[in-house]
Amino acid sequence: MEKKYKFATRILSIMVIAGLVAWIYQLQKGLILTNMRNPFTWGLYIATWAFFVGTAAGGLVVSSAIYVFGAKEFKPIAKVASLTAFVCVIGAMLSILPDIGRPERLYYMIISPNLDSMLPWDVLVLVLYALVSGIYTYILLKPDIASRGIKLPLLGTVLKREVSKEEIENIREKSEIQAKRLAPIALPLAIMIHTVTAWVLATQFSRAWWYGGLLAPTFIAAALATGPAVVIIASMIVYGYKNELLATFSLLAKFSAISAVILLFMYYNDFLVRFWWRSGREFEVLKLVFSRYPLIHAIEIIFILASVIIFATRSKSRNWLIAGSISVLVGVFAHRFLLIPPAYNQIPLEIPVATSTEALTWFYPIAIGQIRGSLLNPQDVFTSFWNYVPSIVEITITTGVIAFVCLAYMLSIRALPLIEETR
Amino acid sequence: MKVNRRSFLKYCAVSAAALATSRYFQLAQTKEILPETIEIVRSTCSPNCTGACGFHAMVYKGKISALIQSADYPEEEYNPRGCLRGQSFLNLIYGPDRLKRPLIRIGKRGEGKFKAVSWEEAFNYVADRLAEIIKKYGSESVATSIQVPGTGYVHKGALVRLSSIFGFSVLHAYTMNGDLPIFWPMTFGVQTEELEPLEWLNSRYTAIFGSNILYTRLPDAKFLTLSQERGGKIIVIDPNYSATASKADEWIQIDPATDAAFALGIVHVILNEKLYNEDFIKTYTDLPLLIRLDNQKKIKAEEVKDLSTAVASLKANIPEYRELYVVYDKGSGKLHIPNPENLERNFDPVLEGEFEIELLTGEKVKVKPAFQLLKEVIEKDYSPDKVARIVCPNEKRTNEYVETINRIAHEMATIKPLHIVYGASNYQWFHGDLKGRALSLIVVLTGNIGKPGAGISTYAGQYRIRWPLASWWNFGDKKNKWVTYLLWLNEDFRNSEEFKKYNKETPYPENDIKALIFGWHNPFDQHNMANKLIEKATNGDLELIVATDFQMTTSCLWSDVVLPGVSWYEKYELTVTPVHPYAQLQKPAIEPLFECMPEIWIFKEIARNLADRLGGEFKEEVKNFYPNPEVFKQEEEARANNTWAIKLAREKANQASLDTIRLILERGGKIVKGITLDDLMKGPVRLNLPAPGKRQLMFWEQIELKKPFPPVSYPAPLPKTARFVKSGRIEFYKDEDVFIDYGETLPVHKDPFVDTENKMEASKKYEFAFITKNSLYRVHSTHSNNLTMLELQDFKAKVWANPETLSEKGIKDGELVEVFNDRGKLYAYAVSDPGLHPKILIFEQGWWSRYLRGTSYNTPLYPWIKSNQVIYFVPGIWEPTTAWNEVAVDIRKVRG
Amino acid sequence: MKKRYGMIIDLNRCIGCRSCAVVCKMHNSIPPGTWWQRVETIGSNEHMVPTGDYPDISMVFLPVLCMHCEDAPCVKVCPVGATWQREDGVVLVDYERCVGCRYCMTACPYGVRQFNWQDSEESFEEAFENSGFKEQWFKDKTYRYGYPHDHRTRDGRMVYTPKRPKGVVEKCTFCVQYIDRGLQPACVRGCPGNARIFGDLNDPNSEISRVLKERNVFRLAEDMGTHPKVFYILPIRKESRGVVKYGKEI
Ligand SMILES: Nc1nc2c(c(=O)[nH]1)N[C@H]1C(S)=C(S)[C@@H](COP(=O)(O)OP(=O)(O)OC[C@H]3O[C@@H](n4cnc5c(=O)[nH]c(N)nc54)[C@H](O)[C@@H]3O)O[C@H]1N2
Ligand SMILES: Nc1nc2c(c(=O)[nH]1)N[C@H]1C(S)=C(S)[C@@H](COP(=O)(O)OP(=O)(O)OC[C@H]3O[C@@H](n4cnc5c(=O)[nH]c(N)nc54)[C@H](O)[C@@H]3O)O[C@H]1N2
Ligand code: SF4
Ligand code: SF4
Ligand code: SF4
Ligand code: SF4
Ligand code: SF4
Ligand SMILES: [Mo]
Repeated sequence: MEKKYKFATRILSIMVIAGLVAWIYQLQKGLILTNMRNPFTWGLYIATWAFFVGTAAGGLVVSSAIYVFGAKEFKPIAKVASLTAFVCVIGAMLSILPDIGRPERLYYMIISPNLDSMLPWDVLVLVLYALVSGIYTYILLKPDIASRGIKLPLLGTVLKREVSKEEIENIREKSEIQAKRLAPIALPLAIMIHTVTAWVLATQFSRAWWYGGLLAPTFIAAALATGPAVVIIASMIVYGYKNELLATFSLLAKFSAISAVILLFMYYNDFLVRFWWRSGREFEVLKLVFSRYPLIHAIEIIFILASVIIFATRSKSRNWLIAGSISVLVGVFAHRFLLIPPAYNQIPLEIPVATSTEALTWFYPIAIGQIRGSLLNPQDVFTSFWNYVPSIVEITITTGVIAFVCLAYMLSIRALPLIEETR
Repeated sequence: MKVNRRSFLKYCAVSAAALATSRYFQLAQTKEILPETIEIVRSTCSPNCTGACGFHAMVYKGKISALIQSADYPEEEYNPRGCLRGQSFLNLIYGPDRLKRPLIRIGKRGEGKFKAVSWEEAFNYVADRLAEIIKKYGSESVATSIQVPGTGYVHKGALVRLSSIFGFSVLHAYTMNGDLPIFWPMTFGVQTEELEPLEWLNSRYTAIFGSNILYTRLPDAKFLTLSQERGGKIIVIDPNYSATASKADEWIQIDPATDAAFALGIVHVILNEKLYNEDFIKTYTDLPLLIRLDNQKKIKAEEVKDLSTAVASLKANIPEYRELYVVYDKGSGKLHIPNPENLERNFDPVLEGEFEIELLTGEKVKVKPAFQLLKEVIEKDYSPDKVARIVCPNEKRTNEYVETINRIAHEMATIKPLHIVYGASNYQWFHGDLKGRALSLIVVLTGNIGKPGAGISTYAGQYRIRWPLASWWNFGDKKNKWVTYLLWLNEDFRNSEEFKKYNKETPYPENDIKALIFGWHNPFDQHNMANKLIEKATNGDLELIVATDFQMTTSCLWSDVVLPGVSWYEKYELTVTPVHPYAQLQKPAIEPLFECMPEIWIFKEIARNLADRLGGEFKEEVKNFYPNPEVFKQEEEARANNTWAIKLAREKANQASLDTIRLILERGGKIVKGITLDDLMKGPVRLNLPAPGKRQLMFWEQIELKKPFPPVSYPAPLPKTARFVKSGRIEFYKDEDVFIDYGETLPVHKDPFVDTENKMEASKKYEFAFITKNSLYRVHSTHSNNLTMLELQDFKAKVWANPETLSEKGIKDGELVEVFNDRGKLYAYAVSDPGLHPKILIFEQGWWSRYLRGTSYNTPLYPWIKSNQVIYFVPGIWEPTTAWNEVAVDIRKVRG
Repeated sequence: MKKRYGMIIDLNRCIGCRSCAVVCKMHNSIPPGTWWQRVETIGSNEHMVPTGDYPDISMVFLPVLCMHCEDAPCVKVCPVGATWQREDGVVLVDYERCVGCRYCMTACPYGVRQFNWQDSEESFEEAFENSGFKEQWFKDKTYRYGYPHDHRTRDGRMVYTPKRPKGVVEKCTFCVQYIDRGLQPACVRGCPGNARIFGDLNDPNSEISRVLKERNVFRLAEDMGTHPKVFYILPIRKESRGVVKYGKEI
């Protein structure tokens, strides 16, 4: 166990460091190191951001559900759940950081935010959410911290106090009350982060792939599908596959499965509506999904569907639970990724042209922002289609962020008194 | 928004109204508004396109930070002149290929290995080698060449002046470029004429035969749309849907090089329906002249029995280059000799019929007026039915074409003024002369000459000079020895029986050409037809190659010595192009970069160094290289007392340039009378053209003042050119032997390739015509390496082809292809273009070889020479001229 | 009255020459690969190649620059107010405030915004190298084209600088460095087709207002609700002739 833990943390640390180095490199050279260009301005970073925002929600929804809806089954994993929420939202914020061309100027978000823009609001809710999930985790952990403290590297155990039993009970009660009070704030916040994040995209009239009212609900559905999956894995890491938790896991799995079904329903519902009219930008972009990105689409559908099936039929098996969770994470990650290419490759400035034999839509090409190629292999500057594949730097930074989230979690479970001592 | 006929009409009404109120033109803007750190200098963009657009250079800390059109021409419609190439010229001045110092080759020819040397070293090298060659082969074996005299009388003239001192041969670039439309001297006795673009506004009908004005006369292209706004109609006749065709009211696609047939079809309708201007024909043309049916020559008055007294009295009053011909005067019922020196008409010649004339010898010959013969030919061969079959690219549409020819003929004959634009690409075919003669018929028959907005224009890039330049170009009374470029390239023709038979006066250096000194062009890309130049450079036939340029072109790479010159923002120069009737200055906005030097200095130094080697009277003579010997002396003195510096040499060169401009203006005659250097310093000055308002019309004096044809074509003296039209009239009937032998006494149509490619056994298998036209992004090869222009072309040299052609050949849009024939090949990327004729491949010429994987678009070409071009020799006016488009090729995909 | 700048492009007069795009680039020091203004042939992959099926073919050229939208999505989305609409209606980017999030590029329907993916020095170097120049810089090492001074608005915001900072967005400024001095934008002065009019939309006597009143104009992507201040005069002649039909915009 210890060996595995060490191995995992070491690997993760290496990935984090690699990501960090890559980011510093990117800061130096500029975003030219990504494969985004003028016609295609957001890529893997933004997809990862949306993905983490989704996973972040799950945790807090789970733990606050206990206090708002009295979902007792979740109680044993509440701490883990809110902790995942905390690390994931940090992960979300970290994933947009490398996407910013001038991160050192981000303070303008505070000193001169544009309240018309969804982005400051999104940052606001994300920060609030990070705060709330952090506080929430702390509240849940308070009794244990008092009795067992936090184990920090070098500093050793801190915050540990000599407390009597009554005192502990007292603290526990208090924490219970505080949690109950915080829950009604946390839950809507959890919903808000998806909604606002979705609005960042969904408000963009020029991007037919995003524009409309449906994006926010699908974001929530995606969050409720991935959140529980993350919590399942996170809990298993901490608690293992225990009998007492079987019901919890199975409930989480069902929760995820139902959300995934809703997600797929909304997704295809949207497709149908777009398809039925068979013209216009909404339809064209749908065509793009199937003509240009069938593979990514297949991945999202197959993996999400697989998870639904697994969760619906095998939620009692440890391995299947893990498989199901990973499956939904992969599926939703693909789903998140697919948010991007069709949105950009449907260039907004389009002009229909009808000749005597065909009617076509012509897209006004955009200058990509760079001179590529060579004398023997010349490349265009203007293009109306950008074949985006994340660059090594983008992938390294992104995996760095993902590794950071995992590492933070791994370190936290060692440091924080998550496991009940009595058992 | 849906547009129907009604809104179209409404639009027309509105646009007329709008024009009345809207200015739309950009006038020069006050320079003082910019910060004081920025200085504005006016110069003239002067590449080979001869747009000669006035530009303002924004100079900051001794460098040009931006260029913009100066928009300071007095006629507001002309503002602004300029284009994307001129605007981004900075990329060339400062670009990576800019030359810094003189270079001497150290590697093999063409390999591109050079060492940078001092000016002194370079001149020593050049002078030593030249002296050797002169000793071995004679001075006429040293050839020099310049391009586009109109864009720089001073510095280009300096090379010609150098040639004149030492007796070098001068290759005439005008014909080397194929820019000479030889129908002009044949028909009108001049080098060329053209309307200034402002006149296009007066045309009601503009017929463009294969001229891509939107690219090649870019700053003037707006006059087409303005003319439309004023109710004029524009039609384009072109095998390909060019950018210009897209702006026209009508595009008529014809088969390649069938313009003569099309024109003669129109003439058919004009003649048949008597839509011609009889009075005009009788007064200004040779069509009433009587032609002997036995020998097909114009009957000369001196041959005719009853006319000998009249001849004698007339002969005394006319120059010897004139000939007296005969018409049949309807009024008196007698033969009459029209005065070749005066076009006033006091007789009424018959145009039709057949007559019998008794000669001095007593022999009786049958004669017909040329007009009658023309009518017969046209009647027989060029009915709209027949023409439609020749020109129509698609058999199924032949009937449609019959209708079109009839309709266009009526429009052309009735809507006046009519202006025909005959494109260079269109006449750069083997039988380009025939097309021009046929097109001229249309405007002349309908009387569309000499009036505002009327005529036929050939807007080649570079053509005639505006006034005599001997004061500068010739050294004292030493004449220049001009040599025909094509004769140099085409040895086979030079040695052929045909050449010997027809040639009377075309010179050629006895020991061939052994050294080449050139400036302002890039012959190793632009002219290495069939690799002839490269071959001569590689096999050592050419013993010395010296290039002057401001950047490292392909030709510089092939040279032995490269001398770094300067651009038009680094020197004083006089620009007077033919199409735009202004004299303008090029002014130094900046110091020449690095060690680059104004060309006048370079050629003076070559002269000085060579004179040192050759000794004799040369040593004294070169002191007069600069117009003011004082300036020469000052530099020599500085050299002697070691105070010489490059800065000083530049100052002296600038001084000499200004002196030269003054000299040229003073000796320019009527057309620049009263125009001083000071005037030019302030801005563009319109030339004193003879037509009212100093407008540039064609043959205004001939038509209005009844002066005989031709007007002078500088620099040739009138006697040299007037003998082309001995009747003093516009001539459609050519009776020199070669025309009779070829069956071309009157304009006729001849199919392309029949007399050229198809005679070469191997070529039969090549089915496509290879048209190398000009690019929007280059002026020939200038701007080939302009980064900004490259971006706009995806960094790719392209070949345009009809989609059917491509699919037939299994080529997809965008693929790398090879265009080839037995002589050479070219690599480029295929572009599918539905507007292209299926039997044509188009390449936009001017790419440096470096962008073509080392190939060249000129290697598949051949220097054809048509024999009627060697019967006279007047440099740049009547001599063999290149037919770029008479090339058959095939295309295939490049594998791997 | 306050000025409100706008532009008209007459598509009948536009000869598709791209001079406007080039003069813009040169005057605004735009690095290789980046274009504030583009001119394309509608319906065609290749500029100056016609659309349609022979013989019903046609070519319409369409220059596109920043529309200086009255309701500019780019202004709306910019999280830090780095993009804003000035009093005179010109939409500008503050080079010193832009955080480089590229949200505005996502929002702009016209594809006119361009990002500095790297330092412009490196863009040049890379451009020279990748396009086959032996030397990878201007021969004069210190040379750069473009209007040489920084330009700030009256309230001190930097809206033009010849040496472009990396990681920020840029776009057409209506040549703010010139119009603030009463000069016309470079692409208007540099258009050899005389196809452009620039001026004050609020002044009923300005040339632009007069022409707007008299001619049929349209704006690009009007359905986006952006209310562009760049207007186009319809290329009517072409459509009444050819069989190629262009979308409602044209
Ligand atoms: N941008 C730019 N402008 C230039 C120049 C340049 O290099 N670049 N060069 C200048 C110079 S030196 C010259 S000579 C002129 C040349 O200018 P143009 O005379 O305009 O020459 P091209 O561009 O070669 O020719 C264009 C058209 O000729 C058509 N054509 C070819 N063959 C035939 C034919 O047999 N019949 C008909 N009807 N049409 C035919 C082609 O399809 C094409 O559309 O341009 C000058 N202007
Ligand atoms: N296949 C094919 N070939 C053609 C044609 C065609 O249609 N098809 N067209 C032909 C025609 S019409 C023409 S006119 C010719 C033109 O061909 P060229 O006359 O060779 O024209 P450019 O390639 O422009 O060469 C001009 C050179 O002069 C240099 N230069 C410019 N200004 C100065 C100056 O002030 N000082 C110095 N020292 N150098 C200067 C430029 O850098 C450039 O390298 O090409 C011909 N070649
Ligand atoms: S390249 Fe020719 S048309 Fe363009 S600006 Fe220069 S002179 Fe004028
Ligand atoms: S410069 Fe003028 S004519 Fe040329 S493309 Fe631009 S708007 Fe059209
Ligand atoms: S065109 Fe684009 S960049 Fe310009 S104002 Fe409109 S939305 Fe903003
Ligand atoms: S990239 Fe700059 S201008 Fe655009 S939205 Fe972000 S901060 Fe604003
Ligand atoms: S107004 Fe100025 S910045 Fe805008 S496109 Fe025109 S030249 Fe470029
Ligand atoms: Mo030419």
